[in-house]
Amino acid sequence: MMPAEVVVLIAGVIYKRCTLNDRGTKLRKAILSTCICFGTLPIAEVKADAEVGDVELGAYLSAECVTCHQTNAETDGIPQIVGLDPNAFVDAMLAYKTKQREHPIMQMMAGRLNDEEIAALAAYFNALE
Amino acid sequence: MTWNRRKFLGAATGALSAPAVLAEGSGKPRVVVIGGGAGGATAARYIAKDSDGAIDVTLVEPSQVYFSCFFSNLYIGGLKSIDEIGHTYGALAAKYGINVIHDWAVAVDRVGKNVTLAGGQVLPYDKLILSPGIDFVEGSVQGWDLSAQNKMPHAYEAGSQSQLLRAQIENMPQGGVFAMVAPPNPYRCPPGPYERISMVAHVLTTTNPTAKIIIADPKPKFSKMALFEDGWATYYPGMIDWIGEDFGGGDVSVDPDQMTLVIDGEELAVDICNVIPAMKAGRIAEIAGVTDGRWAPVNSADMSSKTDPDVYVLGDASQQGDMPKSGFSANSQAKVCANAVRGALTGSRMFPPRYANTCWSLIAVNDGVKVGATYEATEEKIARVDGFISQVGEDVTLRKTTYEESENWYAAITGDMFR
Repeated sequence: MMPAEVVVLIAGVIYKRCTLNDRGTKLRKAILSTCICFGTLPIAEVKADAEVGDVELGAYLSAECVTCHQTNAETDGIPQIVGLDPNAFVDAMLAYKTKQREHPIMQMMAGRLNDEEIAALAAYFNALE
Repeated sequence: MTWNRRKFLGAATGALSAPAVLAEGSGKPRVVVIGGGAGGATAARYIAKDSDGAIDVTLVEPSQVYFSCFFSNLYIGGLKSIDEIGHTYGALAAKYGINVIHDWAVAVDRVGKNVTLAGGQVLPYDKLILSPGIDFVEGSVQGWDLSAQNKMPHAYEAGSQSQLLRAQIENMPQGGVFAMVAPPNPYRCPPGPYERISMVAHVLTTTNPTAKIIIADPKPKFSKMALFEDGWATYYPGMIDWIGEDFGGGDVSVDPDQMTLVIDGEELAVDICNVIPAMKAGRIAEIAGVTDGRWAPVNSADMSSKTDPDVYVLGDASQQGDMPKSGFSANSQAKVCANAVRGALTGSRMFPPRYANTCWSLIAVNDGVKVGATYEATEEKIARVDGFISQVGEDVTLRKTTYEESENWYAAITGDMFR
């Protein structure tokens, strides 16, 4: 049987390629599901890379976001973040975290997220339809 | 000590290697949630949604319609309709497969692990989540009990009580007196009584400008005090008289038949008396035997009861540390609890707890303020980490934006609970 770490490594490469080629969400989700089934995503080693963020961690963390950000409606106030480009997401969060962008709630929420968590959220919201 | 990743990875590994708990008969683990508010509805929805059918979730809630306490002051102020703060449980049943039972839970057998309903049905559980909100402490306001709530409404559980208080305000005689007996700490929604005063003043300024508002308060200070006092002086000058602890605001009795209020020995005739008594955990928490005094102590890591690891207590009823008793807090706690319960029952991945809260208040039309904080789980309690509060003197554009933000939040959190 293939060691789990190898599976994760291969899946990660395929996943990133799919993302780069924008081949569609279904395949990405299938690969992520495979990773999740193995339960072996190497959390501590995930880099702050919005395209390979830990989607399962992102899903958990996102629960904090959706208390204010609606996921199924267009609003002209608190912005829609579902489907947001992951790099734009990361940039925005880092701007809040470093207080270059104004908003007391977002500065507070982003302020306690580390790079891995921001990448995870970016990947999750990008994958969400 | 704070919870760190290593500790939680250890917990998660343990959960993965442990066999899932299976209820006899159904073949699936069973979760019973009592109370369909910001804590209970959120917990039920997240467990059902994220377990994708692997857990049987039952939600026990007596009311067919949930009227949110948050934003109910805006209803009293004429800025929202009662329908806009009412929510039903249909999507929880239809979309997430939650077994929604409209009944009262009357008994909890923590040894046999089951809940008995008023209708006689017995619900077995593997994990029980209690989110019953608040009840009032008998005798905390001399002369008042629940039998007097139709004369002196509390309006601190939204719905018919809110409608009664709004009707009383609409029918108040010109130049009349609106009195509030404010609650002692800790209580649901710390800025709530003072947002209510703002909304009552907003109505009276238009319909009854010579009316007076008196607040008898057992506390020396209150949430967002500087912001409210500044706003009251700006929008409602001379209308509101706050009598705090130093001036006998805690020495109060009422006579609902005579419509009188005695503050520090001085009797006043009042036209409306909004009595908000001292609060305690909803009764089922006491029945379940998980309270210590008025509230139910919980572990900060997962909201589990300090009395029983298979019972969780969310929201207002819990005694958890620094988080205020608010709908936002209950919703935040519910997600931590849902992750822990799911992990324990199905071996799903578990993550460190994260807690946050924000409370918006409306002082006048388009003049919103907010206070918020993040929290972490320590061994002792849920402890405040960071926070912010609106400032006196902010410009009108920012205040309007803050109010509009609260409307967005309301739509989002109620969607997060019910849709």
